[in-house]
Amino acid sequence: MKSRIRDAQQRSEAALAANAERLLNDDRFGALRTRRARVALVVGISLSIVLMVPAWTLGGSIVGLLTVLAVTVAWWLLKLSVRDVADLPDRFLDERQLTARNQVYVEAYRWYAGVTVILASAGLIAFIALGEDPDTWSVDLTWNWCMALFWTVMACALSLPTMVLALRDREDVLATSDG
Amino acid sequence: MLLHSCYVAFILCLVGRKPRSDEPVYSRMEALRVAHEMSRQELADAVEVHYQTIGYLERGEYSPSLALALRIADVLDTPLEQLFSLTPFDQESTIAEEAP
Repeated sequence: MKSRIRDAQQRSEAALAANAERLLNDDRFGALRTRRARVALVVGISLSIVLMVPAWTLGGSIVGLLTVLAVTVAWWLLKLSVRDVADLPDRFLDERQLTARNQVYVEAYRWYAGVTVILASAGLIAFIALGEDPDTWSVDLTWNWCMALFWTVMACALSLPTMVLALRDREDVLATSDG
Repeated sequence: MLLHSCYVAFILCLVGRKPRSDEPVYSRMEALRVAHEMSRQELADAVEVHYQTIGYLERGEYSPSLALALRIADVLDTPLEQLFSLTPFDQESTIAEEAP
């Protein structure tokens, strides 16, 4: 039993190492690694995240799922664009990539904290301004509202480090003898 | 309400704070690498980093650890002080003049 578990762990580690090697040295997606492509993907993800709440609450489940799909595809392309440096395990990255990744996570946390503080403060101020009278307003937490909040928070938390890295990282040029 | 506004302002100041910039490290890696007829990929493989990292080092956009600097100096067969410096290198001095 122990040997089976060990074999499975070794196979998993080998697959992870092969995937990391492929991502870090892959030169098939040069078009995704230009500054313009990265900015376009970041804008696309940001817009899709912003549209998630109205899509789920006004458009229904199908439209909501389409925004989730759009974010997922754009995030996957952005991960390819930055060679997944934001999410690969430490042992596959060199010291410069680790330093960049650590700086990116600090910056992403600050953005996430900033946006959370602003939204929470806006909610609190609205609550104080409108008062506690249930006839004035009420929040109806339906399934679609729940999905909208869940996917918005999830998409922000998962994609923000890769988005910050894509905006900070230099354009990726192929290794040549002179360039 | 006032206390809360102060708290929000404090958090936003923290969020917007920029990190301190590091002291610049000047490098002659590119000239020495070309003199050794090595590509970035070959040098990267020799010192076990990604080829993009060689580009960052050559442009002076990343300061290497002591271990990495020593590995690069070893591969390029050059004393460390001729490879990296805290002051700009003399433009007129050539690699050949300073080579051991």
